[in-house]
Amino acid sequence: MQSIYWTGRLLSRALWNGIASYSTSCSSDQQPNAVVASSSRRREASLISAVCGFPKELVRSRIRKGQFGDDAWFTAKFRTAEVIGVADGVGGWRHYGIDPGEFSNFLMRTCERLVSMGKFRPTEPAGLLARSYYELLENKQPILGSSTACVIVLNKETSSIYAANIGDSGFVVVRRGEVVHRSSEQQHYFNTPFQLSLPPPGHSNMVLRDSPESADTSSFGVEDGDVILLATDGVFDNVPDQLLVTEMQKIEGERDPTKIQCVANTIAWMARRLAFDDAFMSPFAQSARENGIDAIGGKPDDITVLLATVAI
Amino acid sequence: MSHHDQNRKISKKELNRSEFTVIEQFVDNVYSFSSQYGNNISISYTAPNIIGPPSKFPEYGDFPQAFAMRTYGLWWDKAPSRSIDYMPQNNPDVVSQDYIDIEYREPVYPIRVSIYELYNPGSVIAIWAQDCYGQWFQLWSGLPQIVTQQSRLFSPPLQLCNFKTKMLRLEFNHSLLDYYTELDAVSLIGTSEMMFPKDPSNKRNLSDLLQDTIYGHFNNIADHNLTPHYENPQQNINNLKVILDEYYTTYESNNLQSMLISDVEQIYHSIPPIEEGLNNMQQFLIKDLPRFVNNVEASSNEPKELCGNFSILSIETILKILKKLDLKSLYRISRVNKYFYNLALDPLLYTSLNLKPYWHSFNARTLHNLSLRCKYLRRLDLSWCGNHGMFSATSIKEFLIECGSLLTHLRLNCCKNVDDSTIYQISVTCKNLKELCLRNCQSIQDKGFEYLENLEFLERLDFYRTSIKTETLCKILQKNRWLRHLNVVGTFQDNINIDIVAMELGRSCPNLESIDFWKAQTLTALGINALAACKNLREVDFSWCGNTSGHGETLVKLFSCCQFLEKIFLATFRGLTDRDLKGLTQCKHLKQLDLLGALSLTPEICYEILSSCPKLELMDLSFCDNINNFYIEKLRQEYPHVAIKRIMDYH
Repeated sequence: MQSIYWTGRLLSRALWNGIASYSTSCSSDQQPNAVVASSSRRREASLISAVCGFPKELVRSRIRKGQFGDDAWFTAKFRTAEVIGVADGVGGWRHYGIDPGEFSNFLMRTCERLVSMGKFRPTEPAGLLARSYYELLENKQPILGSSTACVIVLNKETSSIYAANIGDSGFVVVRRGEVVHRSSEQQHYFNTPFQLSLPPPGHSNMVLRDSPESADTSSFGVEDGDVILLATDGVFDNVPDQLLVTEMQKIEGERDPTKIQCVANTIAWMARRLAFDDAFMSPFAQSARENGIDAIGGKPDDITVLLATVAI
Repeated sequence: MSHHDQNRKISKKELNRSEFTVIEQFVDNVYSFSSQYGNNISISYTAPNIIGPPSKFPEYGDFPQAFAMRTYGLWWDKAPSRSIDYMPQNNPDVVSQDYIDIEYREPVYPIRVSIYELYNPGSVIAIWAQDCYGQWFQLWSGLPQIVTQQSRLFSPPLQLCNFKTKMLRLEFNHSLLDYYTELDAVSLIGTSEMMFPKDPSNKRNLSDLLQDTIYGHFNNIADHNLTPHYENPQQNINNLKVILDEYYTTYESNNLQSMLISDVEQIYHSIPPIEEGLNNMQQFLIKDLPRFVNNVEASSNEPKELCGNFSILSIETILKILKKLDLKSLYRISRVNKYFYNLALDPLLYTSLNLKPYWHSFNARTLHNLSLRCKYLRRLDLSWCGNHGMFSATSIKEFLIECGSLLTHLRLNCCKNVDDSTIYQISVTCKNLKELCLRNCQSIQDKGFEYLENLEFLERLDFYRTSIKTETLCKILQKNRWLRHLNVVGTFQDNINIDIVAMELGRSCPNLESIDFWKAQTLTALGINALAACKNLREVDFSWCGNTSGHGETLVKLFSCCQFLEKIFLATFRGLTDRDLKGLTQCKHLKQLDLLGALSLTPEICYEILSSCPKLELMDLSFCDNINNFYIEKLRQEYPHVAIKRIMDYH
């Protein structure tokens, strides 16, 4: 009950401020970190989006705008393009004293800057990821680590989507209760996704490195009312597809950012709860069984939900 | 004038009060610039970062989101590759080393320009505004400053500008900087209408007034800054509007007539009444003019008498003296009389020309005029000139045909209109060329560079931020065995393979002294190995080339082969190890060493280098994570004569 109260308060504050993108955080209780982003223009397609997520360890995690634990996300606009993206820093780096969140956050913040500076081709989302990755090398302070990433560009004039995905983050597009498009997961082997990485000097041979060009790209047209879910594996590994579709269906054609925020919150909460449910046969556990690993229960992970509806 | 009258006038202007607006804008576009720290294809530390509102201000520190330039302090002037000005007497007290031309959307009458300085402030030395005809006007100039290490909103007091502008130029001098300066944004605050003081006896301009109001509050005159307290820039603007409303009015055309009739007398009370003017004129016609005519006649008949003692000197001595004069003075003395006119025409006075300080006023006419005097021209610096339509490629070509045959040194840095045909002319006319600097000449295509294969005596080539290609460059290198200095920084990555260039250098240019490969990511161990054949190397800049893994014996070999190395820049060779640098202890001439971002270096190797290289002056150990601040302090204490740099983490 309290969480609904909090969310409501955050949202009303967001609306009061009346700005395109608003973010806030509350660290103490398990409050969702909510963000509302909205826009509308006649005839041109646009995205009405909301963000919700949780860091895996609520107590120890840093709270920063655009980040949930090692996950990071961004929304940005430039002329006729709207871009949203998520990235999931690979947690294994923590053993080497490297903060995995730095890498994914840098990747997303740089995408955001590149988009708002207009330094990208709207038809080449993989190119955007590549440029963002390239900027890592231009940083004086080395930012080491690796990350999965998924970026979606909406061309407002042609109502088409261009998407690029590296690794196991991804997106789902739901229209009239059906999944019409989804990203394909890229894995080297079970639980080891494709990743962009910058290893410490001298370790390049020991680290999985996939080039930004190896991204899985797709493009398709969207219709008014389509619902797009862009999320990290913390969501897809824990929430079965059918549950996602049921939730997403509720906001088909919805233009009220508050309602979209509610569903984003629900999905994030669901993922969070299932992740810590030991007895639940999660999609992750199923996948593990298919790979001959006897597993059950959810997979505790950082969770980022970026939910958007298309308004034309 | 009666008291009543005065009141009426003010109330009349009061009516027009609301007809101006104060507009604050941030940079809309970067038109051109002379250098940037970042790479063409990147957004980190590049010039376009100055566009838009500040992104980091008032944070202080090193940010990739800022605009940074390539140099700081005097280190580049001390390096083997330094270039010396041909005609230093032309330079003002402070030389502009870098510039950036920034465009705004809305033209305004400028009142305030505020520069958001993020890191190491104090290097802005001039602000210019361009009118709609392309003419430049200096709004402010000052000395480089040493200021406290914190972010600064710098708004120098401006000259009154009587035209609308939307293009500004900032000029920089980095000589006093401790480290790279970084800028976040530049705001231009101006009015939509020209503002005039309400009280006509108040002759001071707006900036003065602003200065008074600020200094009245804060008593801080030292930095000539109108915004010493940046906490609330918006408050500043509101204050400004209030001040404007209170003291100033617009120059309305419907107001003009009444102004002319009633106010002119009062505003320009220095103008004498018309009767007095007539009298003066009569006096001049009767008395002074005949005397003047006589004098002129006398000067043409007996030149020597009029030159006083000067003519006693031998012509060689006189020329020697005149050679010390700057170009402006040379032109001025030619107006004294025929004798000096003839003297000032002597082509021997025009063997070295530096026109860069006159970039704002040099046009096709002045260039043509100059060509009549430059029969023996050997060294010419046309850098920064000719842009914004001041003169065309044809003008340069004509000048070269006229006076280019003896040229040995030619600098055309940042000349946007230097194109393929200009290069062709150079290759045909200037057969003896030793130095050719084409920094930022982006109109030259690969075809243009091919013409340079005709030259054979080149010793210095600067291709900073041009589009030269590997094959062309290699052919030029094959022909020019005497090459000593080469800069190929910021050439477009797709065009050039630095490894192949380095191998060609190793084969063809045994006299190579300095090489600048900054941020050339195609350089690998292969290229560095090949360069070891150039035994006379004194300066290498491989910074930001170290992303390729593994250096093996490469650097060890380079350091042992090239014993004369004075400057070695290896920034972001992340994997650099102590072993790679052992060879440096043999480089007894080493003066400057940049090791930024070398993650695994230990304090021991730093001690070793510092103790075995007695001439070392500069060492950059920023982001060397294995050497903590404690050791840095210790090194600084033990080697106080070495500037040991480290970017502090202020975030």
